[in-house]
Amino acid sequence: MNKKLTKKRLLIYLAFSFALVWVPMIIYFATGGKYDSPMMNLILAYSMLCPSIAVLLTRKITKEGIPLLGKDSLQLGINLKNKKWLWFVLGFVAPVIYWDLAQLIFMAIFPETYNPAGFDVMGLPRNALILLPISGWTTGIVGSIGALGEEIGWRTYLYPKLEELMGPVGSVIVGGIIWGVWHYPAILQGHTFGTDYWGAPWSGFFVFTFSCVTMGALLYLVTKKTSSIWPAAIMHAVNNSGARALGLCLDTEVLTGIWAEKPIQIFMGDVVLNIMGVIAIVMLVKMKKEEE
Amino acid sequence: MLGLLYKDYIAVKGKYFLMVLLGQFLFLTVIRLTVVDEVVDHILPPMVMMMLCCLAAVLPFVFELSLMKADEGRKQKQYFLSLPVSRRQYVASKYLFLAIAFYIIQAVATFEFVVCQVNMKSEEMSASMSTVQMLVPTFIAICLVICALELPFFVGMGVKKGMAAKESIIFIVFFLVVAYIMFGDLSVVEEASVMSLIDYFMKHPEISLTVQVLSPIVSVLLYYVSYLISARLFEGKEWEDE
Repeated sequence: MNKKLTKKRLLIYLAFSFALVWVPMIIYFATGGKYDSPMMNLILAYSMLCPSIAVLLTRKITKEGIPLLGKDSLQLGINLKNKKWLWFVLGFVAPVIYWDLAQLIFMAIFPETYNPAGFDVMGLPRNALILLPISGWTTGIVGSIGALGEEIGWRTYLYPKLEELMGPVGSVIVGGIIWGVWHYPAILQGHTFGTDYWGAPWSGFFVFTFSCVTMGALLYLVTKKTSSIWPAAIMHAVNNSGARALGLCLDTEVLTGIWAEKPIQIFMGDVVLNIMGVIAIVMLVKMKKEEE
Repeated sequence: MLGLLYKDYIAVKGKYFLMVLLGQFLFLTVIRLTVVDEVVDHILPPMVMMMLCCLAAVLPFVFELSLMKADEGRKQKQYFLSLPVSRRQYVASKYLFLAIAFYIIQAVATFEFVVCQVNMKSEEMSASMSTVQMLVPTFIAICLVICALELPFFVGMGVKKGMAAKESIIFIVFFLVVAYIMFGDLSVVEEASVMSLIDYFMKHPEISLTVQVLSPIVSVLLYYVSYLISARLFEGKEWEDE
């Protein structure tokens, strides 16, 4: 294993993936662009493809080749044998589990946040609400190209390269931090947290980066277990599509004090995801030991 | 498997299809980003829908036949015996190829919707664009179902007999349409247009959600069942010695 070469490839990849996203975003905001606008949606959609573009450019420049299948590839194949299909199922259901379970915990701690009137906001009959998590799945899959774009970059290139250099735990922590930092220009302008919250923007940076570490671990685990990028892309897409049933009846507006702050609420909303992420790290370490 | 997919890509002249797909995306992007006008706002939703639906329709009506025709030669038995894959994998490659093509159309559509929302002044048109965003995947799902229905005929019976079966079905549908025109309620048809369809779904969110949720699931399930049937038919197929 040539660590120097791996480091060089990593740096080229990171330079591309950050420059392709940060430069247009900074120009957009510097010229008075607003976060809450269709143009920003376009920039965000484009940004999600950039890690893949960065991988293709890096592989071309460093003459690694662009294999689609197998080890050290874009991992676009699908193999459901040897119970690998279970990891694909996990890709679908994990976001619903970790969001809804966390929201149940939230409502158990703060019963006043339960507000069934929230269901009526969408103008749907109550019996159609069962469709909401399924809608998250289907819209997630239908629009999964963005998530696929990110996952090819982070989970098939960055994480394996980092693992070569610093083992599974280091790769998940450093990779998650890099993934989180990559989002900072958008967070600075209101992504996920808005702009008016306690400790802005640092508390937002911290909470987002922390969830990137744990979610990255989970995504990397499913990628390694299946040797395919698709379950991670599905999980990422379903996560972004907001596939949750209880979200509509959770009214956080009634909270006061520190609990009314967005970073705290999001950190609590991520609690189950964080636990699953820690379990994923343990499993990754175990897998590495078995490989050796 | 990759080799088979590449062979199919060449057989259906996939390069030209991709060029058309990307060309229309670039065309819309340039129009949307350069012309800020309410007229464009009104034209875009039905135009995007028509363009994407036409491209999706190419798959069941053009690609499918080209795919099957490409492998129909005089020495079929020898050809299949020479392949380094099983018969089941061969059939899987056809299904996979079409599935990838559908996914690519959907991927381009996803970005097209985001692009079209930029510079949109009219909120009403922005809402109708969101409805188009829901209808296009449904139309793609319908095209997938058409492929799912037709492929077992082509795989199991060959192109000639498969075409005959397909034409018979089209003939029956044609007769049903003629019967409807002669005896049915035509007022529904007179009022039909792309915009009226968009309006209908905007007024009925529960129907639009149900269609949005169920159409991809049902179409994918049917497609998988169709693959299983085709694979079984193809495994049992025998060719006369040539």
